This record gives sequence, structure tokens and C-alpha cells, in this order.
Amino acid sequence: MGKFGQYITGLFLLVLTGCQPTSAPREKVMAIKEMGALTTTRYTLSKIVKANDNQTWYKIGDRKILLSVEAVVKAGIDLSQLDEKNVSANGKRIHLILPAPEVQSIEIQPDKIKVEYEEVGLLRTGFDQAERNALLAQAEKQIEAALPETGILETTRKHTRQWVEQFCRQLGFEEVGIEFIDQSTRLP
Amino acid sequence: MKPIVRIVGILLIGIGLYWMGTRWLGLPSPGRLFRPSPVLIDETPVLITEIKQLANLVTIEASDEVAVGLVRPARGASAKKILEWISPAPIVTTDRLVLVVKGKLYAGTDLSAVDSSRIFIAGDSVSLQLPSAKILDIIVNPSDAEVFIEDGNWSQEETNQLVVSAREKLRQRATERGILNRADEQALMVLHEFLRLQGFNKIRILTQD
Repeated sequence: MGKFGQYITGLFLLVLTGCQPTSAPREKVMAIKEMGALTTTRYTLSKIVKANDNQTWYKIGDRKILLSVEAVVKAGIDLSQLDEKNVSANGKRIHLILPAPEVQSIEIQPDKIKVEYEEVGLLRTGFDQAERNALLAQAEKQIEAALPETGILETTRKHTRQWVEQFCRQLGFEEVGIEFIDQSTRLP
Repeated sequence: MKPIVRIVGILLIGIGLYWMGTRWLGLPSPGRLFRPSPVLIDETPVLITEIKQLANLVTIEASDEVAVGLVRPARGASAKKILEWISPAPIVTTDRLVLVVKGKLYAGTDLSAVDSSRIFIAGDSVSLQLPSAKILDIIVNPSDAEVFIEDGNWSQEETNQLVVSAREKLRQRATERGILNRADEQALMVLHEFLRLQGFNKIRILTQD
């Protein structure tokens, strides 16, 4: 075999071994759940995600990343939990004991994730997407853990009370009393 | 004793002692010694940038999963690019990014649009006109996005763009499956019950469409 033949065979083998057989990922079937949640509060939060990969002793050189993220958190009450025991209407007066406010969703906005700074030493590789996702997943947990400090549930109580009161007034009630089940002084 | 036998003997004793150390003294095993430590993020504060009041009645939650991908010609001085340069035949190598994205989609009614002009009351009868249901939220978090294939270097902006396209795909699939009609029906049921609890006996609720 001539030199050209050897070159072609080598190239062919290189291409053959470089090809990874990958099958397309399967998509799952959609699951649908019926609910009755009243969302009354939307918080927009921002956070800096700071990571330094310097804990592995044999890796030489720096590898740091700084990301900024924005998260949207929504909270409200589960209106489907309301039953006869929680509502008493008498003429133009109504008293409601609403379910306790809860956080309904947390989302890190995909279009608001930004790499602010990245430093990678000569002997290190950059952060790939899987690693960046793992860091963002940690940020997601930290945001969830920090939610009680943001006072979102108290704001939700205020917003829910305002909307339900206004709605009841539109329905013709002149005196509207609202309590939340977790703070109620009355027996349900 | 030959020096080679002594060296092998010392090595074997050393390996034996190390093995016992990993079993009983808590010394790291060779596998653990070279296992990279996980990268952990620092604790940083969360800042509130906006608070908004809403009045959304969420009536349907749909969980779905879609696969999205991006392909582009290979960039930079990668092994693929070198292959392109040395190949006598013209070949085009590509970079690929494929994500499997799990998402939650919420549909319901915007109750902030319900004002006095849409409510009619006469005694124990009430008539209410609701706006049509719409998709209120599509939640896709980084923990729900699995990187299935990552060939080449992809910037965060390119990945963000791909996740946004996954959200669009989730919206499209949900709309095709008639999620908005189901959300409308459920909104009627939830509000009917809410009004019944308030003492109304004759309840008529209509959606805009």
C-alpha cells in the first residue's frame, strides 16, 4: 500500500472511531393536573453565583466562575381547600377563613442567566454547560432556602386579603372579614 | 538476597500496609484520592428587585419533557477543526448541544381583569364573565435541564437561547393538547364552588370566548 493509501486508511479509522453512536432522547408523555390556586404575589429576586474549583489537590491552576441570575417566585393560596366550614355569609356580611399562603413556583429565568466573569488556568478546562447547570441547581436550592427571609408569605397574605376583599365587595358584600387558617382565632 | 527481590518485597509490604490503612485507618483509597471534589457555590445574598401583586387563578398544571438541540460548524482550534484541515476531502465538522428539558406549565385565568362591569347580581343570583384562560407560566429550571450531548464549547447565551426554545416547544405541545379549554372548564368549576360557598344559589359563569 502506498503512502497515500496509508494516509486514507488512517483518516478513515480516525473518523470511524471519532463517531459516537447517539440515539435521540425520548420525550415523556405530558401529565396534567387540575387545581385551583390563587396566585397573588410575584417576587423578582437576583443572586450572584460564585464558585471556585480549588478543592481537588492534583489540579493545578485557578478555575473560577461568577454568574448572575434572576429568579421569579410566585405565591398564593390553594382556593380548592376552601369549604363550608371556612365561609359564613349572613346578608351583606361575610367571613372567610382562607388557606395558609404558600410558595407556588420558583423559576430561574433562562434568559437572565449571565456569566459575569470566568477565570481558567492554562492547565484547566473551562466550565462546560453540564457543570454550569449543576452550579445553577445549587443556586436554585439556596434561593428556596432564603425565601422565608424575603417576607414573601406576609406579602402574599396582604395581597390575597386585598383581592378577596375587593372581589367580595364587587359581589355585593358590605362587611368582609378575612382570616388565614394558620392565624385564625376562630374554630373552623 | 538479590536486590530486585528486596525491592519487590518492600513494595508488596508497602502496598499491604496501605491497603490495611484504607480499610481500618480511614486512609483515602486510590480511587478516592484521584476523584475530583465537587464544586460548591458560596453562600451569597438574595436581593429583591421587584414585588408585584397578581390575581391569577391557576387551574391546570401540566408536566412535560422535551428535547431540544443546536448544531453549528465546529469552532476554534478543536480536534474536529484539525481533522477538517488535514482531510484531503472537504468535510464539515459540527458542534452539538442537546438538552432534555423537564418543564411545568401553568394555565388559568387572569382575575385582575374581572371588574364590576363583568359581575351582575340580583338577590341570590350571580352572573360573571371571565376572560379566557391563558398560559400563565412555563417553569424550566436549570435542575430540570439535562445535558444529553455537549460537543464543543457552548456559551451560556447559546444555552439560554436553547432553553427558551424548549419553553416554546412546551407551550406549543400544551396548546395542541387543548390545555386552555381544560383550564377554562376548571376555572368555571372552581369559581362556581367559590360563589356557592358565598351563598349564591343561581350561578352563571361565562368565559369571553
